[in-house]
Amino acid sequence: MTYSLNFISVELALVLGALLILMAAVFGAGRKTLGFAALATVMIAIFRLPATMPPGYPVFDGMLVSDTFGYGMRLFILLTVAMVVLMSLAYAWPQDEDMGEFYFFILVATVALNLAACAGNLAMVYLAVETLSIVSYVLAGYFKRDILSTEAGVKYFLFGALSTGLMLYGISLAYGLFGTLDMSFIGSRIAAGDAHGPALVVAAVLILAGLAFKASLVPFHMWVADVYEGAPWPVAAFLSVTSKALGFVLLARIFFSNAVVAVPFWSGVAPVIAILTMTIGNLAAFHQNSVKRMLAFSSVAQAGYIFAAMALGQAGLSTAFFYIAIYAFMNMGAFAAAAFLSPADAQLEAYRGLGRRAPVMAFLFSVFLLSLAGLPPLAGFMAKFFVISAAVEARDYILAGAVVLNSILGFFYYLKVIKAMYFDDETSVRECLVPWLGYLLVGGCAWGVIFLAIHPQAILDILALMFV
Amino acid sequence: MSYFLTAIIFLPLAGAAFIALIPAAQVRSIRLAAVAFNTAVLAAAAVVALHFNVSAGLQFLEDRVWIPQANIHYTLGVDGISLALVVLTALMGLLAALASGCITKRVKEYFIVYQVLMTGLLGTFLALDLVLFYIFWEAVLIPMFFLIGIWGGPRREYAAWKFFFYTLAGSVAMLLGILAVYFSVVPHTFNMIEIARSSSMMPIAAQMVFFLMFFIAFAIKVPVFPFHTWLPDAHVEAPTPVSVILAGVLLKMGTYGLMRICIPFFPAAAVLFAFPLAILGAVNLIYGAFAAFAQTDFKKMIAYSSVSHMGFVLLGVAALNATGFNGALLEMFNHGVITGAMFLLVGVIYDRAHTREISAFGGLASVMPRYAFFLTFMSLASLGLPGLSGFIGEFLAMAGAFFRFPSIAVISAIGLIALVALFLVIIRKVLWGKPAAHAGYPDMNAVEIAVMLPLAALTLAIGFYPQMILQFQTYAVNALVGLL
Repeated sequence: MTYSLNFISVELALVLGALLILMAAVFGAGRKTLGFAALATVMIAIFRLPATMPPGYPVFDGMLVSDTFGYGMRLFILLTVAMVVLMSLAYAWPQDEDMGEFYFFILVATVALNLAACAGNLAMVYLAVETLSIVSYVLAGYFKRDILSTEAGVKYFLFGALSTGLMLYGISLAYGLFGTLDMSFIGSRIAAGDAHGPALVVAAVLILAGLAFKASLVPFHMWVADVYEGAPWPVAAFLSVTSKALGFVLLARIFFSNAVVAVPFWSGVAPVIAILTMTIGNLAAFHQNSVKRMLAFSSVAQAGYIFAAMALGQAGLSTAFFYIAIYAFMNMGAFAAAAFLSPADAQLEAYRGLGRRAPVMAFLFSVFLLSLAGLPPLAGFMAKFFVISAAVEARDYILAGAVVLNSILGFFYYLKVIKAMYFDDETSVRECLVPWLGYLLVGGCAWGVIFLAIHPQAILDILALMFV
Repeated sequence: MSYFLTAIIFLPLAGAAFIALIPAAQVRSIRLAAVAFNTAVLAAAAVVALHFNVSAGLQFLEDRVWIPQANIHYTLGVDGISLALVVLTALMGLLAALASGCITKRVKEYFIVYQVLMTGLLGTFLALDLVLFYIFWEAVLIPMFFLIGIWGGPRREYAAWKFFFYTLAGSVAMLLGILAVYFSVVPHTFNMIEIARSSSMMPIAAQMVFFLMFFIAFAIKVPVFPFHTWLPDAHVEAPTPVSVILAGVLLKMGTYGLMRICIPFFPAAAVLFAFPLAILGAVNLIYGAFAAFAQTDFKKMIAYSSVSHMGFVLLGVAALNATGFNGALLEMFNHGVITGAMFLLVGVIYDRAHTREISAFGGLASVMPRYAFFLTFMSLASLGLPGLSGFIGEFLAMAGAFFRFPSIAVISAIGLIALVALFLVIIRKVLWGKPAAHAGYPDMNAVEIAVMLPLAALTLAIGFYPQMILQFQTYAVNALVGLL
């Protein structure tokens, strides 16, 4: 019990911080104070994380598992949430919204993410995902008086309710098959060959559907563009990085860590989903006039590359998380830079000529876009290189070719934004003011994108510890 | 371990960082800094050439483990195949920087992008690890995209996109090829020296597939007919100094790749593909020359004559013998110097006339005598007049090709004749005849002459004493022939 309480002290700290922020907001604390309080809470959680070691013991009778993978992902979640908070602090909020609730929801979502990342029981998975989802619906519709934002919240809710419903049905089928929701027990039963047949496949497909929604894999990607477009920029960044990563974490937990469910099903379906996701994401992104929608579809395509690595089975798992780590830097950077360059208007025209008006920010934005496109020598290239390399090693030339062709497609729309910023004449003379916190965040992401290109083993070493 | 090659590669990048710190308004300082850094690169390249041991293979080797998990190394080295190209890149880099006076808008950004481009080019010629090679190869794309797209002519955006996607499509094929080769050689390695040593063990079918994967990338860069259509567009829209780099250096990346990767990695496939390669060379030679004839734009004429000249290089490579390889390598260097000079000369007249329509000129010899001298000199070098450098490279390449495929070499002579006619027509139309509306054009100024002089001197010197370049190549060429 002591071990269990100590294990979740990170999450307890987050809950405590969230409640304090909510109280402080009631007593009229300023936006900056609330933001820094949220940042401090996340920082405390990060520093608390090592104290919850060592891994390897059961937590709350197996509801949570304490393994290196979970620790690594909790660190990842906390770091990306810190970035989101930093972005919210620097972001020019268009309306005088109540920021206390915003940070409260972000921190609650973090708790849910952390618990999901360590889930050892399908009931825990469902509870955490549902908590995260409900909070995310509110965050997506955070601009109460903005019609697009409200639409985003409702749309996200409708799609989300459907897919978590599907997942719940899948979990209940699993319970019927195994008489338990404990993931390691189910895994050992499947590995022993005790369970097979259509019911297991249906359960797996339904759970996959719920997670594909979070990870925005085709055909569960429909919500992405509309939700991102309506949601505030920091929320869009949160959904595209942290929340999306959670989808992959749970895919790894359910379909890999505890024995691959129905192997023929995985190797038959997963590559198809991966190829469809990257292709549809790229093709849809190409037609967008809004940078925000373009980035939304780009994040769908990126999910396709990540899933392509996962589709290769156990061999590609660590490659997928290598991609996710680099994706976090470049995508967070791209969303932040796009938000700072043009906070209110995400149309492509608003970015014209920014190469001259905001040279530093526009340059960094270009770096992130080129990294997303996979241009050497940026970190995004390393990520793609490892995916393609894993596919070639597995002799899956179709998948490797699909990733390669898709990265050509990607250049078309990423370069369109760069072209607008550098080639085109400016259409407005709007000042582009970015607070120093914004430069801190974007500079940090740029450092990540460049440092990880030169020194990718920084991530590879951590991954080697996570996937022992 | 020496750090010399690393210094050569990253000196231009340091220049970019330095220029980024200069306020954009201080245009003079920015130009000076760019010239200073490129001079330093040229000096470093000259030091490498002076210390180069002509009777040894790869030298100045640097090898550090970069990403151990993926077996990727940071390996650099220079040998007879790359040395001349490194010197050429450094030389053209400096001269094109000097000739960048025509760039007047966004000068600071221009030179930053230009410096990044130089790092990519130098790195491509010096990298000996396939992944490193690919990274430098790709690093050239975006700077060139910007240089054409921002500082180009009226149709610059179209040309920039076309350049970008042609070359990108080629290089991703190469990326797959790199990985396929990596997983096919035992032990797995990206080291180009190791692969050349062990890849001949691969089955012939695999060699042929891999050869083609790399060949697509190189063929687009060269450019080999029918992948050449990006070149005239890029050249016409690019500003003069960028055209100089494009023709002088960038095209050589393709032929360099053929000689550094395609032939040593897949010798058996190279023997099988020699005949189609020779045909492509002949097509390039003849088609390029005739297409140049059909142009009315001075710059487009030179661009197509480039396509034609690269045909010589392809013929020399396809010959697969020492004579042909020597000719191909020498022609790569010579073409860089001569065509670079030709583009500079087109730029000189464009700066004055603001048109490149060849019919708008005429009688310039009486108005601009110094210009007339240089244009005649370089045109004669370009058409292969004995005594000037162009002749030696073309002769060796043709001789090598004749040895292996006499009929193709004979047919190629059609292109040779067309080239002679083309440059004589250029001289006649631009320099002779009745002076048109340009009576008041000033002759070439000191900077323009200073840029032309070293090129003219090199053309003459190599024409009389080709050994000054050939001596560096002999060892590497013999080693390459030994692999076949």
